Amino acid sequence: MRPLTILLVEDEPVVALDMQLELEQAGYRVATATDVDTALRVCAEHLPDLVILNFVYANNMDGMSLARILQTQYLAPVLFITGASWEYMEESAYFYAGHSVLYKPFTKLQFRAAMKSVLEKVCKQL
Amino acid sequence: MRIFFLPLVLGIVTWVGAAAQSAPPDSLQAAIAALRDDTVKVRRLHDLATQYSGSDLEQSLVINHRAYALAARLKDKDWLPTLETAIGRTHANLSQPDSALHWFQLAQRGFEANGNQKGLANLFTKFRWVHNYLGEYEKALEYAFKALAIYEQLQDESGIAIAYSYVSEIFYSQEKYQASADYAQKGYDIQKRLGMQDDLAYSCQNLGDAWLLIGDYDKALAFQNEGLALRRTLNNDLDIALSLNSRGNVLKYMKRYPEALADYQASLDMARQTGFPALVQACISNIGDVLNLLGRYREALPYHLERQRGIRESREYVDAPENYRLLAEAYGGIGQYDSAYHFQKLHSAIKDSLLTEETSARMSELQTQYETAQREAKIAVQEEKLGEQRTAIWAIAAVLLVALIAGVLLWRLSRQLRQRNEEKEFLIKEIHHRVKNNLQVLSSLLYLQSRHIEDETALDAVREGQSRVDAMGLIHQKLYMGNNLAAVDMRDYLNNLGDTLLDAFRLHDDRVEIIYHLEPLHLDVDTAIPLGLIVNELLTNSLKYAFPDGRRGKVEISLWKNQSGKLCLKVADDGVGQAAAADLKNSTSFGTSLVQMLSKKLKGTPQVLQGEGYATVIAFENFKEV
Repeated sequence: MRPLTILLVEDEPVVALDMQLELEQAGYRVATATDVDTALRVCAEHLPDLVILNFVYANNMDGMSLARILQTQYLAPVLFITGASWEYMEESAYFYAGHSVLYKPFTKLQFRAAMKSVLEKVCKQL
Repeated sequence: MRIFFLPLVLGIVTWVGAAAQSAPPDSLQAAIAALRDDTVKVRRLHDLATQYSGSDLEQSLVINHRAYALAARLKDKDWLPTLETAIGRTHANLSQPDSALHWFQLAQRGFEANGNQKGLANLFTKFRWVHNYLGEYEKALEYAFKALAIYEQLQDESGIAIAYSYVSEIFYSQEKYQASADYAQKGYDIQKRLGMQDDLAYSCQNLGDAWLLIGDYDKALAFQNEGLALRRTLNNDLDIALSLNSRGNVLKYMKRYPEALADYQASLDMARQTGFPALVQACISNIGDVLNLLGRYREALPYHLERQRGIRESREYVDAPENYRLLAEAYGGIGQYDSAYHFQKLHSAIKDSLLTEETSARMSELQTQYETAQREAKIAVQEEKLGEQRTAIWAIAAVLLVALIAGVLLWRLSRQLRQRNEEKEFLIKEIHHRVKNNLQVLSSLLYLQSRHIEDETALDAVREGQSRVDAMGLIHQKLYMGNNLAAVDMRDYLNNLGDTLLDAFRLHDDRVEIIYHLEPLHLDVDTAIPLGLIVNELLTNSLKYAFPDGRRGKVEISLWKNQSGKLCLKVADDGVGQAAAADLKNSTSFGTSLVQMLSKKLKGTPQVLQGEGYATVIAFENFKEV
C-alpha cells in the first residue's frame, strides 16, 4: 500500500519542520508549501490525501479559496491550524462550520488526535 | 442623508442566454467530469462557472480554476486568456482588486499574443472596473476609451454600447452625473435597438443611479423599474439584488421608506445567498439608515453594529464616521445617551483627524515590541489598566450628567481614553495571537532540538522544558477573552494537561489512570499559569517515579475552594512513595523548588501528606476567579 501523502501549508518554518518530521516518522509522505500558489502546484503534482493548512488570518479569502479548491477539485480533506482565537474563528464569515480546526499552540497529542479524526472522516467517505 | 451606493458588479459581457439558472445542480458537474473531449470540458466548465457567478462567487472561482488547470494542461492558447479574464473578474467581485489585476495582466499578454482584439477590448473594460473600484478614475477612463476605440474599429455595436455604459459609470464615480446619464443613454439606445436585454438592464441601472443624483426621482424610478423587470426575466440573483438596492435608494430619496426598506431587505437576502460581501454591506448600511429615518431605532441598531463589524473586518475606515453618526442617532433615539454621546464623539474625532493611517503605523510599531512569549506579564498589566480605564470612563459619564458645567473638560478627557481603549483592545488581541504563535514555535524548537540529543540526562532536561512549555501553551490555546478578562476553564485545562503528560510518558495504555475531582472554576490567566505549572511538576513527579517496573496505579488531581475561601490543590498517587523512589531527590530538585517558588507567588505552602504513595496539598490565598 502506498503511504498517504500529506500537503503541509505553513509559513512558520520551525513549526513546519517539526510537523513534517513528526508526520514522516508516523509513515506519511509529506510535501510542503508556504504560499497558496505553490500549494496549488504541489497539489497538481502529488495529489495529496490530506492537507494541513494554516488559516490565513484577517480579511483575506485566499486561504479559504484554496481550501475549497482542494476540497472540490482534489477531494482532499483539510485540517486547519490557526493562531487565531476560537471566538474569532466562530465569528469569521469566511469560516464554515464542520471544518476541522486545531488551535495553536497545540501539543503533539492534540496534533495526532486531530490527524486521526480527519483521516477517519476520509476513510468513511472513500 | 447619504446614499450607500455600491456600483455594478463586474458583469459578463457575452450574453449568457435566458436559460441561465441561478445555481446549476451538482449532477451537472458530475456530467462534465465524464466528458471525453477535454476542450469541450473546458468550455462546459467555463459556462458552469459563469452560471455560478450569479449565485456563488467562491464556487465560480473554484470551477474556473479547474477549467484553467485543464486548459493549462492542453496548452490551449485561446482558452487560457479567456479563463484568466474570468478568474480576475471573480476576484474583482470578491473585492480582491490586486488578485484581479494580476490575472487581467496575464490575460492581456495572452490576447495580445493571439491578436484577439475582441477579447482585448472586453479585458480593457474589466481593467476599467477595477481602477474605478480603486478610485483611480483617470486610469479607468483611459481603459474605457481604449475599449471603445477597439469596438469602433471592429464596428461592434454591442461593444460600443457597453463601453458607453462604462464611461457613464466612471463619470458617476466622479460625481459628474449629467455626463454619466448622457453616456448611459447612448448605450441604452443601442441596446434597446439590438434587443440586448442583459446589457440594457445594466444601462437602466446606470441611468437610474445618475438621474437620482441629478434630482429627477421619477425618471430614476422608471429606469430602475425597467432594469429590475428585465433582470427578473433573466433570473440572475446577483443582478436582481443590485437593482433592488438601487431602487431602494430612489425610494429612500422619495421618502417612501417602507417600500425602500422592503427592497433593501430583499436585496440583502439575495446578496447573502450569492455571497457578495460588498453588496451585503451596502444593504446593511441602507437598512440601518432607513430604520433610523423611520424612527425605528431599536431595529436599526443591530444593522449599525453589523456594519461596524464589517468596517472593522474590511478595514474600510473611510466609512466609519458615517456609521458612528448613525449609531449615535440610534442610541440617542432609544435613550441610551451615554452610548450616543460616545459615538457622536467618535464621529467628530475621527473626522477631525482621520486616525487610521497614523495610528495603525504606531500600532504595528508597538506590536513588534511585544513580540515574545515572555511578555505575558505585560498583557496582564494592560488588562488591568484597561479595566480601570473603563471604570474611569463610566464615572466620567455620570459626573457629566450631574455637572454640565464641567462637561467640556471631561469630554476631552473621555475622548482620549476611549480612543486609547480601542487601540489597546486591538493590541491585546494581536498580542495574544502572537503569543500563541510564538509558544508554538518554542514548543517546536524544543522538539527539534531533542531529536539531536543522545545523552539521556540532557534529553530528560529538554523534555521537561518541553512539557512546561506545553503546560503554558494549553492555557493560551483555551483562553477565553470575554469582557477583556482572560479566563481559563480549569476543568477543561487540567484534563488536557493530564492527557498530555500521560502521552509524554507513554502511559496511555491504562496502566496508570488519572482521576479528576475538579470544581467548575474559571481562573484568571495570572493564577492559571503558575497553577498549571505546579500541577505539571507534581504530576510529572508521580508519573516518572511512582510506578516503576510496570506497576499499575492511579493519580488523583483535586481542585476546590475550601470554607475559608482558599483555593486548594491536591495531587496524590498510590505508587511506591517517596522512600522507595530511588534517585528522586537529585533529579527533581529543580521541579521541587519550582513548585515552592510558584506556590509562594500564589501565597501557598506545599505540604506533603503522610500515607501510602505520595501526595501534596497546597492551599492558595492569592488567586483570582473570573
